[in-house]
Amino acid sequence: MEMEKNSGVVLRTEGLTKRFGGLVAVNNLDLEVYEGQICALIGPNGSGKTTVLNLITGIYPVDDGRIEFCGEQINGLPSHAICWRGIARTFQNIRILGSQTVFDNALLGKGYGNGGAGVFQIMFDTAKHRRERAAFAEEVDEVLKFVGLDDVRSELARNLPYGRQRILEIARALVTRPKLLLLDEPAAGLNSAEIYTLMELIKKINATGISVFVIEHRMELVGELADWVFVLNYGSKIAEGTFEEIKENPAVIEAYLGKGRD
Amino acid sequence: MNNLRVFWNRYGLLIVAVLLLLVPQFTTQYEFYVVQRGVQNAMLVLGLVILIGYTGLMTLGSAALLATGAYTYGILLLRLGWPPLLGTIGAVLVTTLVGTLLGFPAFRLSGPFLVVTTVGFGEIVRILILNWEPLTRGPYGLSGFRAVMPTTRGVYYVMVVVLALLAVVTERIGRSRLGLAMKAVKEDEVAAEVMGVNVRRVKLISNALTAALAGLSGVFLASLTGYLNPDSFTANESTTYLLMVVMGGMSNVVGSVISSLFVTVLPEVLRFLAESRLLVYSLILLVYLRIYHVRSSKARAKSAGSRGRS
Amino acid sequence: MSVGLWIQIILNGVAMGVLYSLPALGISLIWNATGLFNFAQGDLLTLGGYVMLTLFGMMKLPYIVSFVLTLAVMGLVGYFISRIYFYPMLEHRVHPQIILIGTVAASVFIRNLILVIWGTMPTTFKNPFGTKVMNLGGIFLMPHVIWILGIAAGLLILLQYILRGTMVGTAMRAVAQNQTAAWLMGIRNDRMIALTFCMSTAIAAVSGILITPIIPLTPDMGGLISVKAMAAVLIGGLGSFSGTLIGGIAVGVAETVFATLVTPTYKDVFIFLVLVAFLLARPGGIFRAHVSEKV
Repeated sequence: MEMEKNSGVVLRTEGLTKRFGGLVAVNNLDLEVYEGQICALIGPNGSGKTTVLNLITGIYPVDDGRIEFCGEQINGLPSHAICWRGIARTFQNIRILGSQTVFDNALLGKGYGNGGAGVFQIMFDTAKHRRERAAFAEEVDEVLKFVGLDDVRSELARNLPYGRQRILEIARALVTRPKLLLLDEPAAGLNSAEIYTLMELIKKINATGISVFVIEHRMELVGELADWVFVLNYGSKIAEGTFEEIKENPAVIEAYLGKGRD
Repeated sequence: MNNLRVFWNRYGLLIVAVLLLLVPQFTTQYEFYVVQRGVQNAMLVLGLVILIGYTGLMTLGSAALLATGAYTYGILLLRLGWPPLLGTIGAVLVTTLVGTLLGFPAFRLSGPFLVVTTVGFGEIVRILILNWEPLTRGPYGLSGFRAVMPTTRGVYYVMVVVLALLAVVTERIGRSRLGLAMKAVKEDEVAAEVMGVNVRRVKLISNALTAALAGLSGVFLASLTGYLNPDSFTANESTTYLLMVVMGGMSNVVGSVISSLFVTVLPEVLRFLAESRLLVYSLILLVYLRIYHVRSSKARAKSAGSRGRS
Repeated sequence: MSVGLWIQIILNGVAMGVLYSLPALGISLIWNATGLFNFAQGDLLTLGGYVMLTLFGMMKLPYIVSFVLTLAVMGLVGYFISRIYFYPMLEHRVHPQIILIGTVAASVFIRNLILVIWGTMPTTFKNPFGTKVMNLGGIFLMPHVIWILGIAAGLLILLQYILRGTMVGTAMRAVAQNQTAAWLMGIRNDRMIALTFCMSTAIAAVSGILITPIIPLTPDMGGLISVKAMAAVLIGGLGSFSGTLIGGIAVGVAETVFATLVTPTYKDVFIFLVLVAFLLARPGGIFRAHVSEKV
């Protein structure tokens, strides 16, 4: 019975709570993301959305509650181990390595320390290291092609226009071979043409079987993409449902527009 | 110009190595000694390329690691009667162990806090050497052990070959996935960790490699001088090594080798500098940092302004 | 061991500790204003001591005059270091690691400048507070211990007044909190940061002047003092005024007690071990100032 309930759930949080001093940033939050879904987490500014991502990826320790990924508890694991289990993310303010090439930035998604060639194999450039290198290069080039960055492969990342830097961050996340992709306001700072490209890319990624969990402000994007929407206000979940349901929900409207008086 | 750069990137190291191999033919005994010291310093500086240049972990404890290597070698040979080769291996292993332990504070500390720890480590090692007389002979200095090779020239040729190999390896690490992980730790630790880089392990590896190179450099130092004294391992020496790696371009392998040789040889060329050597060096470093980095920051801001937006 | 002896040891420790607290406060002020650690702080202290040596020890100017002149000279030195070096680097957002290396280079530069000008021999000047041991009801103290405590207390009160009670202090704190906002309010960041450097160098110099009866001047004494001052800052909690003061005193007392009871040979080793243990256990310090990293 329990097994059946779990199958298909990629990510589940139960009673997730995070406090900063006296402030409760995330309060008793329950989320469920199903396999193959695109879920959105929306909410007014400062409602704790990014904190949720930081908790899932292990950047902040969880105060209360648990996070499960594919049935395994992941809170308490270091961030890199969470990544190796199949959760990749992007950041609200782009965090790419400006002084490295686009290719190297994407290659970083391969991480370090998860098996593969060790220090001595690298130092002596063994056959295993060479094979690994070639295989990774091929894989990274494939991903760059998939997201449409293959034409700037050897450019320094900081020389890319802003929109393409965002795409590069997504490419880097894809190189980690995630089951679940967390996007933190991917459309922030993009123009409408770039947003269109981004939406197409997210759909294309989702079509390969990767679940997507996206934090977003722009309603048109959420409406277009999300199968399921969670609404957060002051760290608590105030509603969830399809976009159509959410749109009509009085609690959500109040959270976004405020009460009539006041 | 561009061709020249490609040529240099490919053959620079080879050219330097060949020139170094020819040095004994043209120099007096003293000049030769100075060049030897340069090569020995370059080994340690390669380690700093990994630690400071790639991984971005600052240290002012390199002289202490050098001392650990040199003294361990001397003690193993004198007190335990080990043969030089075994002594070398033992010294490198001990130094690596000590350096790796030094890597643990780097998990939680960064920037200035880490530097304070390394300064403290440097002082502890110096004080221990000074006071642990039965083992180190304290202020009298340790001498009477054999060199790695029977002749001075022998030591030198071994050193040049080892240096060239180490330079190749350092370069290789820089271009590998490990090197990329190190550079990611330097630029953005959180992003690296979230992208699956085991940041702790990368830091430990950097520290271990750096310590191993410092230990090896220490063994050669002991072989060159035949006499060890706590005064040769002060914080000033650590700063000189820092200068060498910064002037070499931080993560530039061949540049660091050349800058180590240059900084070692310079005071011998300019004899009047002997007293005020460090005064001039630090001034050069200050001026270099101020002019070069402000300019390159300006250039970066400009390119970001014209190409992107935010 | 008698209570009197304990009080004696602890008072000596406190006097030593206050002398660590002063450069530590400078480090703390600069950290608050710029987010960088000034590794040259200890060497500026030494330089202050040497300037005093020239004015008081060699030119035989009256103590008070030399004292004030030294502070003025060192304040100017701090001001110029900021104007020509650190502020331009900060303004152009040079990587913090580079600026850190810059402060290390500055430290070596000052140290060797002293060496070239004054030579390597440990030197000292006449102890202006006299060398006659005082007997305060069974507690034997050198007069300079009392003077150090008094002068440091006065200086701290003055500093607290400048920071809390004057417009300049308010402006300095505004810059420390939010540079952009302060700039928009019409505060000149460059001047405020230069002023911070000026003040912190002057207080370090006070310590350099007062330390001579306890430790003779040597060109490289600043290194050890820097590290102990940093230990004070870190133990007390970065950016906290009272924390830094107490941190310095803690370092001084711990050092003196260890030197008296165990062995003076390893007192520095002991302090470093305490520091490292402290850094690893509680990176925030006792008086944890609010430090958060925005992810």
